[in-house]
Amino acid sequence: MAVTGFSVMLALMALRLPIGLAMMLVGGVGYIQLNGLDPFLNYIRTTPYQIFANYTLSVIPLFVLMGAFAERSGLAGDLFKAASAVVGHRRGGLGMAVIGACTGFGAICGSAVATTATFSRAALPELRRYRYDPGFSCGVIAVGGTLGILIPPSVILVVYAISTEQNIAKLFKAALIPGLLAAAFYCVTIALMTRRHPEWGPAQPRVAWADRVRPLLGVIPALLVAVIVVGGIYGGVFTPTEGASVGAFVMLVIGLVRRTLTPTAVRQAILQTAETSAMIFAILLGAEVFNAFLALTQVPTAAAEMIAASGFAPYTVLIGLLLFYIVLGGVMDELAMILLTLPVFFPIVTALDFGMPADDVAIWFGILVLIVVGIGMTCPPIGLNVFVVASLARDVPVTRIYRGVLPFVAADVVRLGLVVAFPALSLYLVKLLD
Amino acid sequence: MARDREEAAPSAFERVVQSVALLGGVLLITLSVTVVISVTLRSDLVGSAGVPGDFELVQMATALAAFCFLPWCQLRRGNIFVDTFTLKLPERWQRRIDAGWDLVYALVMVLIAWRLAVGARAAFATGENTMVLQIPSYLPIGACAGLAALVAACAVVSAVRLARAPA
Repeated sequence: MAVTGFSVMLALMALRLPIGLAMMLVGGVGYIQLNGLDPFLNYIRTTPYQIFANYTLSVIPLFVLMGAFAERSGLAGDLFKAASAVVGHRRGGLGMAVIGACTGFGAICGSAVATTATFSRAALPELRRYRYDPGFSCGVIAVGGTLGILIPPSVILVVYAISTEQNIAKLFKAALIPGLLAAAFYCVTIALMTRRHPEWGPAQPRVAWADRVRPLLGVIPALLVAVIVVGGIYGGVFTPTEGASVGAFVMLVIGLVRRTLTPTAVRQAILQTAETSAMIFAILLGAEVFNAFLALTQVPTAAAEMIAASGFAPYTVLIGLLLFYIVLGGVMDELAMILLTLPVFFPIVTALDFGMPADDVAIWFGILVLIVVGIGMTCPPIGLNVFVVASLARDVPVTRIYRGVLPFVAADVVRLGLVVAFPALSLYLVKLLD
Repeated sequence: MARDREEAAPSAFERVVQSVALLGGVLLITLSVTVVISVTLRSDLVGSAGVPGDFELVQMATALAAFCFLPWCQLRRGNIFVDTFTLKLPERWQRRIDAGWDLVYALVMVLIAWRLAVGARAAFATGENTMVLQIPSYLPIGACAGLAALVAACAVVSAVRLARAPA
């Protein structure tokens, strides 16, 4: 029953049926078959309201709104100016500056697409002006954009937390070290790439220390917001909803004070938030109905028991699932992918024995999923971030951007392996800050 | 192209749907301001009890904002679908398929609107209120039922647009 459901749904999805609707339809039909029409009608009498009338869920539109304000606040340009004043004189230094600025921006924005779009506007023209290779520049920005979700706050982690009932604050803590590791790895990759192809990222004249002070001061507003929001959530001062509310509000105030947020810009930010959040909500609603059906079939628990009893080594199963995600991410939107698979995969993973408590495994797996999602957002053949850059840099062919992205994907795979091998990379901060 | 014309002069319907989305955004900003006030009141600086019922308000505002956003997303056709396997099809066929799915979405949303309306009526009949603020539950649920109907209308409009688009 569940297998039929999955196959029908995948077939419908291949035929352009929107993903949330596909889950809703198949889940609904399956529910009716197993439990009858009346219980289903009863179920959807309350569910569509109840699922959205959720205190924690408000974090999603609030972080999206915060990101939409941040995108228009001009803070990204300031971060980039500061970073390029410090490292611009190195070979490929402006690329590293993009990564550094994206890391800072990632701490005030929870969306990869918003980060990519922001830096495509704020940094790409600069890279091009200083004769950086177009494919390489676009690749750096597409990859830097993933830091929007890799560095907390992260909308993807919130979605993971909501669908697996995990603690958002713990996941945000667990994401920090792997996120910073990503930034470091990207910088090393840039150094290696520009050593092989010096013409890709020509070094700029060194900026005197005295002239670095002003641009560095420009980092303060972004840093302040990051410390308040992420720091507040880490320290337990705020619930995630409170942190996100404060973040959206402070970002709005900053934009209004700096006069970068005009009434038109606020309007655009709201409409963009409406579209992005509704897209996530539609999938969440579909996933809710589909999961209700899956739970009735009892397949997730059965699958978890079967795999736990099968004698496969836990790490074999885990690596298999992660590889499956990387492949699936090639044809499907990452958000939909995790919502679709977590009801089955999550019980499997948490039932395996990795020599640590199931709660820790749940957090660790969330970070692994996050890394895989990041890979999927840049990796061919889909790579949402690449499309975002390509849509804003129309003269650079997509294939060329992919060539610029591939070395970074390799760096990501190495990082994924590291976090798989050393769960402490994610769990250490959770323990330390608790 | 039809699309350019629409962007130059949005239809009255489009303007209504856009206003609903903007309303949802205003609701979201109001929510964040309420929470900020509540956090400030509760902090050691002030030390009072916070905004009464802030938890309920956040829940209600989130649901309402979600349903305010859904029509706009549908009208912009912002919902995610997989197009990897249908890229080879002629564009006219792709549009027809999309129009068909839009109609299916409209039917589903009509169903949801109907069930939410039934739910709102039941809440009205029993006089169900929220815990702290004693707001009647049928109000937000009924509003969501109406907005779900608007989503259905948007899906029909986008289906008609796709079907009419010049080949």
